[in-house]
Amino acid sequence: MILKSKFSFINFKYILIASFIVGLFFIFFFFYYKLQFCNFENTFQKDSKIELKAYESLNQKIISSKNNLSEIEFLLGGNNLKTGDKIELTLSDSQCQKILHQKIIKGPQTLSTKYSFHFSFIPLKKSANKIYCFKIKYLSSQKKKKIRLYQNNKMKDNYLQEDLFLFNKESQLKQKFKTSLALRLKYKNDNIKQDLQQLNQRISQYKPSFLKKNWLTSLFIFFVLFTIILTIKLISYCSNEN
Amino acid sequence: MMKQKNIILFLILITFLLKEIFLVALFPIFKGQDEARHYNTIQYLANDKQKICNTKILDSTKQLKQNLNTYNFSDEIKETSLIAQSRKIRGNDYERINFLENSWDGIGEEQAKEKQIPYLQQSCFPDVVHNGNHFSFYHTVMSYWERHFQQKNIFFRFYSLRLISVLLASTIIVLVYYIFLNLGFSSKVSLILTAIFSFHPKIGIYFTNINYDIFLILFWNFNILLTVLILKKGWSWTRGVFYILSFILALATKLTALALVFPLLFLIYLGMKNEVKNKKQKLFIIWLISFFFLLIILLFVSFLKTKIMVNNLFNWSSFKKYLITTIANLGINSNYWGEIKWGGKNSYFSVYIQEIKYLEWLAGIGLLLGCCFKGKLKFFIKKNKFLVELWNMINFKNNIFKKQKKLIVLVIIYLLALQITIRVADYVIYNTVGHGALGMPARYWLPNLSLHLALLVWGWKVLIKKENYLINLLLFFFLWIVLFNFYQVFNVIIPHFYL
Repeated sequence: MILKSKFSFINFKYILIASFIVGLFFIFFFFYYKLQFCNFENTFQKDSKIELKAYESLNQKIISSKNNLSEIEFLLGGNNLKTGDKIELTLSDSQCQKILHQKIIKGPQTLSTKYSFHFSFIPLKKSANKIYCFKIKYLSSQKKKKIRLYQNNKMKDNYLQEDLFLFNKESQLKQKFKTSLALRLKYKNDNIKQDLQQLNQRISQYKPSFLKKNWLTSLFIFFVLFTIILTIKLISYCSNEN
Repeated sequence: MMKQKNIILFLILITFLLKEIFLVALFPIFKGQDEARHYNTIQYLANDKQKICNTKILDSTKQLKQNLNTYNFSDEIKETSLIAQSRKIRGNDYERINFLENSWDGIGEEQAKEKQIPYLQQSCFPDVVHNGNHFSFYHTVMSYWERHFQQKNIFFRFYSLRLISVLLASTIIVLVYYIFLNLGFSSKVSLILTAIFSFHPKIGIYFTNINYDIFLILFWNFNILLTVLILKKGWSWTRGVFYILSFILALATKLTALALVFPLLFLIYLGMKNEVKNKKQKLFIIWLISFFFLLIILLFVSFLKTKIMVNNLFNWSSFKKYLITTIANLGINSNYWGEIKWGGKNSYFSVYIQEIKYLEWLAGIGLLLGCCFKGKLKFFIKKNKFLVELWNMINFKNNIFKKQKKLIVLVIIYLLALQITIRVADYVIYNTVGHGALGMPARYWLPNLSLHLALLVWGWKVLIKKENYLINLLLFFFLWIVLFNFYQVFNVIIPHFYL
């Protein structure tokens, strides 16, 4: 009986440690997934909005300034996507013919901030100076529903090419805008070491010397290491019945 | 050889320090809660010419939250906020600072470090934080540091002040451990609770800020420890002196500490109860002491020239409106556990942190049962004798908490006293400006976090008889908080500011 209870107690200790490691794995996996860097050729500001009704779509051509293009972040006006709302996001070649990546975002949205939406995909390795076609299509079961997307007038000359095209549900050109969508391109580096180095450089900016470069790296390593040691030690000590 | 529990306490401290310093580095300059204003107050006090400055030249209508240049801050703060692009990370959740690629220094950072912006010669930058009609003890102390290092650049001075907050916070961690021990918890339970406290996402972020609340939480917890010690061991000269010191310093830091009068009254009441045996005499003394303290509070308030506050207290219709508004907003406050506004309402954190309410309800049920029933609770009662046995178990006087009765009452007094003080302040402002200007952010309740955790454990203890199972529940809670903390740092804070 005593042996049985001790056995189950030990099991719980390992369950806790295993859950901790699995939890950490997921957190760092998401961290790696989000580790992509936006360019600062333009500010991400909000100007007027474009309305998109059910089954209408918007086409925007973009120029990738670097290799490893991995995300397009855009701004949705008003509230988050509601239940039943869907947006189809497509990235295709410069002719808007060959689909490279496609994703459907369903409402209600999770893991997004109030306005910005992230269209992440496997990095396009040789994307530098190439033109891509970004398409947003609003899929809604109700005809009267619509979403609004922000435009950014200042962006056009830099990494957004041509004008913004609005297509109706029969895929016919409905309207042409002399502006661009408010969006931001994000890139990964060639490897994780470079990603972490770039992140370190960003955090180091506007900081005193004792919180920069190697100090910051050491802090990160020791913080994670000591948390793991503390957690395992605390669980082991407290699970010990003596 | 060092004992195992000391090693773990040491590990908690080291991990806490590393985590906090890492967070200090992650938060951009002036991004903390009212940080620019607190830092401006420190600079103001470090300034020789502060006396000629009229602190009433303020026009809050012209202040834009996103733009620090619209405040009456020192030139140095304004110029640095421009260089560090503070505007981009204030007020919206999608803009990013324009970082310089392949560089360890930001745009204009080197020049900003070399350039001396002579704020010490400036005559007036009066957007400051007051404690009543005086300056806070915290700002006064920190102004010496600011003045001593005036030759260093602003980044050094600002971030070193943040590091001082972290160092002070580490002493709070030690205090909290001894609070748990003296509240009667075993060393294992105390260690887990201290670890939960140290990883609490909200307090973790708050401890990295330049803010007078760091002093308040320190002296408040010191006061809690001394009250618990006095309750257990009685008054002594050392405890008495430190008690008065903690009270005065807390009050000199922030007026919220007026709430500490209530636990002190409780201590005096208990002392009188043991000394005086005649009931009438006892009652008379209690009324006399209460009147005495009320007088002190009123004198203090009038000394601070906050008569408007006192006048505004007595308006029944307004009070009713305020109560309705406040009660409507009661409930689990995920912000208290660390939810960040810009983290997204649907983020994992804000969705799953809500589940803590089940643990809180469990503790609440335990506390209620503990107050109503005697002895050990039986959950399996024969059907035909259900009512009889239940009736026999009810005993308010000799209930489950009989041994810790005084401690539990003390904890409830601390929690209520802080609630009442802040609610009164909020109500006064509500009455003056027409809405709850304080907004009751969760950070106001943080001084009592240790006692809140203690109350949760007392509640769980009633329902979970075996210590092992209780420890398992606490370890689970600890893991939950640690993982939330990691999620917050790596999946919310870093992407928000730097990606």
